[in-house]
Amino acid sequence: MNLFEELDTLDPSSKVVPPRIETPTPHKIAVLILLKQYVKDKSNSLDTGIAMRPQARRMFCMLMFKLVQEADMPYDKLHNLLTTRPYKLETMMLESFEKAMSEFCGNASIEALFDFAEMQNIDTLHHADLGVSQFSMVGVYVRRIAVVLQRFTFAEMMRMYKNICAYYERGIQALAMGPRKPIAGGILHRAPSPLPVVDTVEVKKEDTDANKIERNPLCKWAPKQAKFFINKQSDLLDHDESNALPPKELERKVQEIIQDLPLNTTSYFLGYMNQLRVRDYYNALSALHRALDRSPVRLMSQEKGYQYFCINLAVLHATFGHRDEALAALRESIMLAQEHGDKRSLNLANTWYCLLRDELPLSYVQRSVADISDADGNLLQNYTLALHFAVKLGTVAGYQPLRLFDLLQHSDHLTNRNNLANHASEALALRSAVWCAYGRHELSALYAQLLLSVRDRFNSNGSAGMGSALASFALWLQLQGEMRLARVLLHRAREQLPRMPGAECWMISQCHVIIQSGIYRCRWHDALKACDQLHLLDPAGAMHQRAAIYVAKREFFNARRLLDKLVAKPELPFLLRMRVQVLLAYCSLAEGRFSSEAVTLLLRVAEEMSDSQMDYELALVDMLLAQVLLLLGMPQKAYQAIKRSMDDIHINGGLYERAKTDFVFVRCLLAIITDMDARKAQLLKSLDILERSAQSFKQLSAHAKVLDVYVFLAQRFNEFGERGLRNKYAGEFRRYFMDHPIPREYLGGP
Amino acid sequence: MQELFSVPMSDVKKELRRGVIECSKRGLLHTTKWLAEMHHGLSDVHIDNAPPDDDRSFSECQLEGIAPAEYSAYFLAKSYYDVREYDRAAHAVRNCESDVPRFLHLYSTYMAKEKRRLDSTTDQANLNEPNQMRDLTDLLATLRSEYGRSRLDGYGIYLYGVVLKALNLNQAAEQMLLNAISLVPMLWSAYLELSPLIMEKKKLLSLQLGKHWMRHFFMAHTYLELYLNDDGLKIFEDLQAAGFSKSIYITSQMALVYHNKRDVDKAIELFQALLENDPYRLDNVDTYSNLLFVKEMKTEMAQLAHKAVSINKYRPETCCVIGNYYSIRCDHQVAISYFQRALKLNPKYLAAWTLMGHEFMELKNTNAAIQSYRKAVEVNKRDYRAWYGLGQAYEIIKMHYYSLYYFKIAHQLRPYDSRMLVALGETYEKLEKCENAVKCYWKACDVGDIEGIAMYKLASLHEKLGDHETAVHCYLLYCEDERAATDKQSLYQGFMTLANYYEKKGDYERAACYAYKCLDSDDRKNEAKALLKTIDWRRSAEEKKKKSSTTTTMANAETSSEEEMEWEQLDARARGPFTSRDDGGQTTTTTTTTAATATATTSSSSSTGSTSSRQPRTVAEGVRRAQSGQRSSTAPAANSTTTATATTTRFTLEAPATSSTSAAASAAAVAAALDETTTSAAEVTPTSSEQQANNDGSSMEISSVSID
Repeated sequence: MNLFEELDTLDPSSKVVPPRIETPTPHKIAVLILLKQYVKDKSNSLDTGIAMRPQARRMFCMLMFKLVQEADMPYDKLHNLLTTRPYKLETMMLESFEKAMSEFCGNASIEALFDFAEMQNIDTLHHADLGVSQFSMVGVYVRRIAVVLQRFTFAEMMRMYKNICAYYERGIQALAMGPRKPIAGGILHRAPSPLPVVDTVEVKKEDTDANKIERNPLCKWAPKQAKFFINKQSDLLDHDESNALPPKELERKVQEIIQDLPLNTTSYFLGYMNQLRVRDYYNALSALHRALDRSPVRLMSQEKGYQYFCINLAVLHATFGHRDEALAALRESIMLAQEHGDKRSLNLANTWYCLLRDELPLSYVQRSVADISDADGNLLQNYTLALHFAVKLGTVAGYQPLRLFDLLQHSDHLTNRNNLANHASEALALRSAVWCAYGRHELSALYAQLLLSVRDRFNSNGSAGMGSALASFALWLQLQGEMRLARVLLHRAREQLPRMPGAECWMISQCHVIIQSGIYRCRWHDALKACDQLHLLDPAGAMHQRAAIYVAKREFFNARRLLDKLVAKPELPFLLRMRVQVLLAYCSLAEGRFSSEAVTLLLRVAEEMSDSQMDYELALVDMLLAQVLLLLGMPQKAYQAIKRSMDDIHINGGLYERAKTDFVFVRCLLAIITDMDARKAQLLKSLDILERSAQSFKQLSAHAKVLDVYVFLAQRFNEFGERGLRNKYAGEFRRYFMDHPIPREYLGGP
Repeated sequence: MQELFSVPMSDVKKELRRGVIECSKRGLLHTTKWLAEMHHGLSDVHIDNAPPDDDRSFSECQLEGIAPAEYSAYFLAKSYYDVREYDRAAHAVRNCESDVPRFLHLYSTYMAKEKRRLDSTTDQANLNEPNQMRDLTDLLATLRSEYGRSRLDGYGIYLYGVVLKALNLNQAAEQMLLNAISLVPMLWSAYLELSPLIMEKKKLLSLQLGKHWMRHFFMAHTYLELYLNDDGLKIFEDLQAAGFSKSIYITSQMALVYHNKRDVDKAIELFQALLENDPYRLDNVDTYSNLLFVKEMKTEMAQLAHKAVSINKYRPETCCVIGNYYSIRCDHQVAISYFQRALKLNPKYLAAWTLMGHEFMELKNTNAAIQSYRKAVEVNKRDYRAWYGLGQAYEIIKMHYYSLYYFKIAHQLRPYDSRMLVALGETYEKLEKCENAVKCYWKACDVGDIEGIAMYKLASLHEKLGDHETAVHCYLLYCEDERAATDKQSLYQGFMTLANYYEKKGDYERAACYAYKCLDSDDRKNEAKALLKTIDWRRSAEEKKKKSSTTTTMANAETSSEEEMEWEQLDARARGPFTSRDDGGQTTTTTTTTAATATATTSSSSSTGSTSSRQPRTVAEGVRRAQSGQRSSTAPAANSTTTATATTTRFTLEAPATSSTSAAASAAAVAAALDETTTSAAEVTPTSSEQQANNDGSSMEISSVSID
């Protein structure tokens, strides 16, 4: 009785509690009967000389493992398992099993169980040549059941037998009700032609649905089974949530386990994790407290472990974004850890504390990494995470990439030595992100692809790193004009990471995708809506994007208002701060007024960019500068600027940037040539470039830009008097404009 | 009252009598017992010979519902039933058609299964549960088909409801039980089964209970279960007024109400009355022993335990009583084992988990305590004591932030209980969320502070925050009711703070008043005395100033007042040591010089004041005043006890020497205790008067001395 067990653990007088007998369930007896049939078969095959197929033997062993490890299942489910792939039994064996079961529960009375429990019978299972080894997993399983059965009183035997009968009858009834097969006398007469596989799968699903509603009281969780289940599910929740049981079902299983094994503490924690994944704050909070209150008595008698309670609470609050609460819990944990001299939890708490406060004593981490011993795996993980976090912070603050990669190298060193696959995959994702931030999009995409291709080996299907890699790669594909691929990737990401903490990356990515394509197509409404969504995830980024939309929409007043607001914010990431400046410059450029403001802004940004070695951004600034200079009538300088930037943009830039650079480049080219004929020749020569640029714009459906290119061409040819060509491009313009009407005010932007 | 209960008592008694007969016919023993108790409680209502029903006699009633052809089967079955051979009883009436035998058949089937379950609970291997479910499912099927054919009477429907409830089909069970109640309103068991299904007041009020008077009992009972004590109490009071005043049941329920309301004395009174009326009753004695525990009535607890064991030692209540007794004897291990035994006897006996948690707390086994409390909470999540206990357990291991969660829940369950609020407030205070703490304390005061501590907490919190005005206000409120304050130390702390405050404000009257109150306290006495001296000194200084500024002749006329005299003495005294110091050099603090000064003091005082008999005392007083002045100048918060003890210890070294000098002085009617301070004051005089001179510019005379 569970209650007594609980009382025993709390009894202060008794020192050692003998473990309670783990009662065998009908399922286990059925498994033994099945095993017995197998042993019989095997000895038959030895006698007759007809060897069993090795494949069948292997599958049977696998089946045994599955049955032993996993939770009890009702008879009908067991039967279904035996009749469907991959564990399908051979007909003869299945029939003999069915017969044995029906005989066990049918003709013979309780004597069947007594006969079965006899040592002789069990010994046949443990037979040296034919049976299972005594010391194997299945052997121990058999022996344990046998021992318990031997110790049963008569009344208990009787009840056991009754339970088995009930188990069997219920299963047979369920099978008979199922759409599949008629049953007579407990022996199954299968239809001659096997049903298609799809059908059976459906049947199985239906069955499980039916069983879900009510718990079968005859199935119980044994500690080992529960442990296996909990470990498996919590691992899945950690790494690959989409493959874990759905939340409702998991909750039900957890409740079953708690009911059967109230002293098993991990089940409570699994329940908490499940609540956490559906982001149910109140239930998660109460589940956490329950789980922690239930932590094992004897382990914690010295009051040493309580600091972990606080850390867990802090993690909970951090997950829900309650920063102050989390910090309060962490402070308490740090205090307790110091009091008890628990260095490990102190480290853990400190790490979280830094994480939540967005600050990191880098030197401290580096020093600790240097003198860390390999033995302490937990600390090691901690430091790896700290290193990664440092890299993140460094990137956001715009450090020199050399230092960041140095840190990553450290992390690689640690992870490779200790085979921390998780952290290795995260390091890859981080690398991709860092490269991306420093403008090496090609390399970044490469790392993302690398991570995606090895995800199975890293068992990181649902990790945060994977999410970010998927998201950034999708965005990159979008920028390259591969909209369809991007959409597919995002869809995959959504399936893999359906819920919030993991889902953040792809949600942000998706918002950006919508905003960008909205800007290209002049669909302001969609873009602004996406901005609203983005604001919940990344407020500063959303404001920046909104400003970008306003600039494209030529609502400069609104754009400036937003940008000024952003500039006033003190804690903007470095890259975003720079981009805001660039956008401000762009704003004054697009307004078309001559001002020194744009130039000074751009020059200042360029300086800072080159300081932190962000080459790509620098190139973009140069391109903008070229445009400004062109406008100011300094074509030579503009030409120099655009030439400087073209390499970088063509290597790392998106399709739009590349096309735009081309366009600007041609304009600069034409501007530096004063001679009319030479200009004409130059234009004809660079016609290819412009065509390519128009093509790229078309691919991105940046209609306004396509039209701009045509207008430019038609006007130039008009100037040179090339009527044919002029008419050609004017015609192109007209045709394109009919297909994609764009309001006039959006044409001719820089 | 009339609107609540308008049935004549004679009808009620008749109905009870009828109910007893009907239920005992059917083997519903507990209902029979309850009804019989109620019936007995109405002994004042005389209906002695009246038949239970208007048109039938007793014997007719007893055989009603049984077909004459089935008499033999019924009697056989009933006798089997009475000796608890349930299967046999069910078998005997298996084919009967009339109402009562048929019910007996179903009910004994149910009882048989129930007995089997109870018998096997202690088995090691728990194989029975699935079968139990199965058995009940069979019974359920039978009942359902009978119900479908509407062959079930009210009693049958009640059984149907019970089985549904056992299978956790609560909604259907509720419906069935309500049906049963409307058909057989006297079936108290149906009410008892229904009660736990109701989780909130709203639902209770929305139930269709019909118009029968039994519903009042049910309402009151359920209110009690929901901890809605006042609602329950009101109904019980009304019922008592309506004529049920002698009912044991109502008295015991009211005792429970008072227990829940923490009205300990009243509850104990009721329980004592109950035990007198019905000495062998064991129901609720556990609550009684809890009450005795709270009152620390050890002897009564021993007697109660003795009695309970002699009545029935296998009742969980008995175990609980014994556990409580061991607990108050501080034998916590044994207490725990008794609580465990209570739980083994009745797994649904919830209170034992919480009590066990308390014991573990006493044993400093925090983790086990947490486990026990958690178990209590799991069994009944409305158990605010266990939530509170959890909070306390975490508080002990200094996890204040963590314990907040538990205190919050406890507070939610008992929103008007000041203990929870104070606990919350303390936790917030520890977490330095003083705003929240202030709110909690204020609310605790508003809802009626049980422990009388909230206002003090509030005051000290404000003091800590530096908001002295509010702190003083709170202290005033707190000290208003001296007798209510349970904690004398904090009361004195309040007086002291108030005294200091008024002293600073210059309101010497009130300051002195509060300081005098502190003289009763052993710890605070010295401090209070010192303050009194300062007050005295200042007061006279002020007056002196006034006097000197006006006319000196006026002062001569008033020298008869004692204060004036003292003040003059002080002047003389203050001058004395300084002259001696001029001679003796700079050292003043060593014991030798102190002794020298002490003698000098006496000599000078005797030389100056030989005219008056009370002179030495006044000198001493003056010095003491000076000393306190010094202390207040060095430590602005003059209530630090360390300085006070320091002076006293220093003084005790010289006690024999000084006692001789003061022996003459103590002719005056000052308390002997003052002598101690006299000498200690004498010892520090030089420094003190000097410092005072530096600090207090108002005393012109002394400052001039120091300049010399």
